[in-house]
Amino acid sequence: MSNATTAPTHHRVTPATRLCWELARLTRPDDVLIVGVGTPLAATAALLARRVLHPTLTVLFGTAVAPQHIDLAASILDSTAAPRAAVGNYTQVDVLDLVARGDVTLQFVSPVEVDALGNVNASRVRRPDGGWRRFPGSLAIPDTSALVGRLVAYRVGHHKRFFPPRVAFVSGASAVERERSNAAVTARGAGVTHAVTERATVQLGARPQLIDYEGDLHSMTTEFGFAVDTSTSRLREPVPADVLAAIDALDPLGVRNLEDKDHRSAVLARISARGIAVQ
Amino acid sequence: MTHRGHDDKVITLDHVSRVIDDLRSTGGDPLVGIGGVVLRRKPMAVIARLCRDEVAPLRVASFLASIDVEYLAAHERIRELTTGYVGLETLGTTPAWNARVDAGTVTVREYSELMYISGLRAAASGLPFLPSRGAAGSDLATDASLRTVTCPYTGETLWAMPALCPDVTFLHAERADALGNVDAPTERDFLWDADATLARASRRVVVSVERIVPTSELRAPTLFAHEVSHVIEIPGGAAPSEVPGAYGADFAALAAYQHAVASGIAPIVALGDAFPGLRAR
Repeated sequence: MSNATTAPTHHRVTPATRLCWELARLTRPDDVLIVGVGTPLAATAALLARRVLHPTLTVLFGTAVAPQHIDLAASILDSTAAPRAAVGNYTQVDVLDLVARGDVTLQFVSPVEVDALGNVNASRVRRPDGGWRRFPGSLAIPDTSALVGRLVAYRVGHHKRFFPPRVAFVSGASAVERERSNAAVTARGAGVTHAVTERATVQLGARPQLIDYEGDLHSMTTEFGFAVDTSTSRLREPVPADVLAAIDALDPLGVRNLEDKDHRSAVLARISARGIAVQ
Repeated sequence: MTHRGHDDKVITLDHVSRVIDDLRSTGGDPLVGIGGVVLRRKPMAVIARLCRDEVAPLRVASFLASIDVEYLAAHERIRELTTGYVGLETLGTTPAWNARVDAGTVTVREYSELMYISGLRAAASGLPFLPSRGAAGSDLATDASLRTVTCPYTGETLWAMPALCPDVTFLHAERADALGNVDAPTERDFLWDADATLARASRRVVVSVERIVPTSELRAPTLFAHEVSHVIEIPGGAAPSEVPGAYGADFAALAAYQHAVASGIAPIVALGDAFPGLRAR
């Protein structure tokens, strides 16, 4: 593994690569972790966590249970790749029941906004003219925010817009929000507890804490739309070489970078060049 | 339920609009369910024919929508959508649909997955609602005006997710017999079972298939004759979406469509250029 600038893009420590490691570090040995289909960065992070940190981690890839040796590049184009690699497959109703029972403990999500309390917005934001700009949709985020043990929000490209003081629309409510608003229906899920970018990890809640960061601490604190406590913040360390090697083994074509708009076309070109057959 | 006996259910594309017309002739404003999961098993030939026949704009339920809703939006054949996602996966967003939303000419009812599936399960069970804790505290629950019920055993307050019951649902599958027994997908992909849940919540079910086969050649039916109203044989009827086990999604054509719209070509024109087979349906 090399960080040399002459290496292919996906072999450098891209923002997506950094995110995979930071997400993996937030897993626990006994987690039941669900990642969505179409989120290759989250999928890579989950598989990385299982490989280098917690072999006992249970990974659900959509409805596919504990897939082994999954070809992440093929799974982008072939919807049967993950189910074929799995121990078995839930139905949609099975998975939703699992979530509703509280038996899923962790999910990685990629919303449009996350605020200090851990509320997430994956639905719509205000346009300058006062109208709404809609995004594709929140899928199960409203449910998993309420019912999954904890959620971790991630985003490639750290920007203050991602961290507003208050989300424009609550697609998924945090536990703090539900308690403060005296929500009609109560639920046990914590909502988003952490948010991760390639430059920082922040623990959310009534008193957000900057866990770690890259660069200058003072300027980092200005890149959130809310105050963060830095009393225990630390500089991030480089991604270990053995972790980079594991990421490359899990994702040799770098499909995790599909979630980075600056790399998307290059990834699609690599997938196409490999000539992955779709059924 | 309508016409779900054990006789021959086979119709042709020429009859599809009549299903909608029949529902409207009784004074109804039918809710049309569309099956498939994002870019898989979308009944695109049927949708294209509804557009070609210029049916009045529809109320639609499509939880994981993509080119189905995009096609209807470009042809101005949709006025309301109950959904949890509209997009083209890694290819990006749906420009015609987004333009209609931005213009305020369609109503969007954004549901969470549990809101949607609980609604279908309530309908499939013949119940007016299903209790749930999904979407607690969210603005989606507020927008949907969800009401609550109190559990008579524990006193807990729960959402009463209202039954979601399409008047007619259009699905696409690989194989069925003429009676309406529909095989499960040969290759089990992500949410392969979702169409059966939608079908069992619906009053009528119209299934287009790649092939109509003798009953003896069915492998593992997932929907049965008494649950299906009509069957239509349309080889390639899901294209440009995927039928796992039969053919893949036409990513090249979908990307060409995206590129054309980004270049300033009107979506309805770009769709016709990218998918000439649909225009001919």
